[in-house]
Amino acid sequence: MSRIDRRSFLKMLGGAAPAILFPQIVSLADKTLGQSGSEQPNVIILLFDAMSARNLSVYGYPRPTTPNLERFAERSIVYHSHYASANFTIPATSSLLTGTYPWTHRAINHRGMVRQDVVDKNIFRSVGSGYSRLAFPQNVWSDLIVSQFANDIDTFLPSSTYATLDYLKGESFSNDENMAVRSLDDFVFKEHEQASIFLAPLLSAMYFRDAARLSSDGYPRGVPNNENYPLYFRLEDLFDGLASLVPDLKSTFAYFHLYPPHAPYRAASRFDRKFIDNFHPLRKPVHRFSSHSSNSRLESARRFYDEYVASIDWEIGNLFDVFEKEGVFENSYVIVTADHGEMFERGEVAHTTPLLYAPVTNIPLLISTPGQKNRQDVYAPTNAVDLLPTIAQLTGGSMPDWAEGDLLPGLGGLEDFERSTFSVEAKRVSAFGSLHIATVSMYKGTHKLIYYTGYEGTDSFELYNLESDVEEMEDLYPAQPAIAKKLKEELLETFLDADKPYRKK
Amino acid sequence: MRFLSRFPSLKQLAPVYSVIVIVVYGFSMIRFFWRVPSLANYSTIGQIGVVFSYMLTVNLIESLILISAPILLSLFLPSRCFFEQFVVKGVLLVSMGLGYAYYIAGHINTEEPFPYELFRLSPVVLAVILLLVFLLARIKFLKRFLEWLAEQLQVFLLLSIPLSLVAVVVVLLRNIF
Repeated sequence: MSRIDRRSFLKMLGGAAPAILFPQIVSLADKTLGQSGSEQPNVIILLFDAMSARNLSVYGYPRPTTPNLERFAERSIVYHSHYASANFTIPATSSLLTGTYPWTHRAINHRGMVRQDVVDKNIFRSVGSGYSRLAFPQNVWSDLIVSQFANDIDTFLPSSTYATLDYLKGESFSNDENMAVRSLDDFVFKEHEQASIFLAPLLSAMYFRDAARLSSDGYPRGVPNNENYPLYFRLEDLFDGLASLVPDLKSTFAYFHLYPPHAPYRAASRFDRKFIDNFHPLRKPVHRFSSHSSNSRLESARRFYDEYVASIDWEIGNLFDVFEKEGVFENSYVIVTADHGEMFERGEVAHTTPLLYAPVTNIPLLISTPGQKNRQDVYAPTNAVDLLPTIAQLTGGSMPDWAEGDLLPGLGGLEDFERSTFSVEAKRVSAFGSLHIATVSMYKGTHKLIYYTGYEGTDSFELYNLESDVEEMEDLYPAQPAIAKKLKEELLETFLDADKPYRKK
Repeated sequence: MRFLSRFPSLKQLAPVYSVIVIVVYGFSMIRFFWRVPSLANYSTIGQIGVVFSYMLTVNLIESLILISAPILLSLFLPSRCFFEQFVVKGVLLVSMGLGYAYYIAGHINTEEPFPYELFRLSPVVLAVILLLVFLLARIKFLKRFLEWLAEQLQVFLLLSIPLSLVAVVVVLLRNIF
């Protein structure tokens, strides 16, 4: 109940409330105000969980899901071939924040964590000196990752910061949040897996009672919530909360990992049923590794997702209006991206899958540089691991030699169509062992090679030409042996080299 | 003063507490060892130890809350109703109460949606449990058996209490420094 009261309080006091409730914000303000003499451009990352570039109208999707991102694109660098390093939150976020691929940072499992010797190689430590570093990982899984870097973060807003209702326990242990969340929220009190015989059922009952009493006004399919943890939030509270931080953003590196549009897809009223239309996406053959969902389920899930994305885009528009009014665009790099995508094809819904097709791996990346007025389009392949070196450079740091990404084109780097980038999925194997069950996709030039290993005993490959076959319908692997051989050799060499320390002699 | 005179002695508390410890810690241990392979997938031994410490700390809090139930009954009921047979009635109360908690916990594992009806029934179930406590405590054989069993189980306190205290220290240190 106290959490609900806090929400009401937040609404009442607007921008002042976070400063009262989270004293660390005050310290942020103090810190930044003290630096007014040598102000540096902010770097603001708005990362949306499970936002596929393939469902955004800013990238050509037929449904008008993102008019506000289209508006934003007119003053941004738009990366058209940007790829996630993995297909779910833990490894994908870890890659973005460490500038390394999953085979290096090894946070490859559900609830996994970044390898200890990689922890110090994080984006918060890489930004130049003089920056305040702010993190708000709203997704509890991203919280688990980000809190590993807590020593390098000045202001850490817990996942529940703008929640309407939450029963997270670990976040109360601010000095040991990572292990407390892992121990309490992810184990002892974890619904369906709880290790507590008395308190856990009691707290679950209280949570479900409060959740049932939660007003769903404005959300016909229910108030958005975290799928895996006891946390409900309203989009307007979330984005109002972010807007309230704007006055304090001075020489700040801010990482906002926002849970929506991750499932469950719960659009606000004005966007509910918005896309009951005649759009019928291309039907693709069911993949043998998919969960074999029916076409009607795929289409209805896609519609709910699109409506949720439109709902989020509307809030993004409101936030950007605040940015405009407060002059944020004039002194900030504003980065809109995702950790991974979402798929509604080939018999698969969402992203918990061994598949690495474009809807899961092709994520948005739009970067507005300080004072930028015109649009710039980049088509060369880029990867989430490129953000760390780029931001290090933008903030006055140097490109770390351990980073596996390159500088992004338009921000110090050049468009390189021959460069190879990767997405990796290996959640089934131990983080301390060889990636003997895995999917790896490699993007190079106009081609994409997908490698499946360990699933059914024999390895298999698929090859697509992304220029002539955007939908990845025609597997060229048997038909173009020369290209296939070349790409296969490079992929296997890179993969086996990265996996070598973990393979038994 | 008469109220406080009904506060059970350590000798009375220990057997009842040991029954609580067996169930509460036992349940957690089973879940913990079930989870260890998954934890080992991405954690160091130290991290697994920290997860274990948080779990034991919760267990300690849970067990202390649960022991407060027979203590409160002892304090508020006339001596002859509860205090004079604290061990046997306490053991019966916590055993049946935890049995019900285990039943609910099992349903949270397997059922959708959340089993509210089990919680709504709680006052009735607790009333039945109390009634059974008073009835079963009259059976002399059962009484002797429960007192003997609780006595034997006390050995587990020698393990659980020191471990829990170490766990609390671990949790405190991690949160202070």
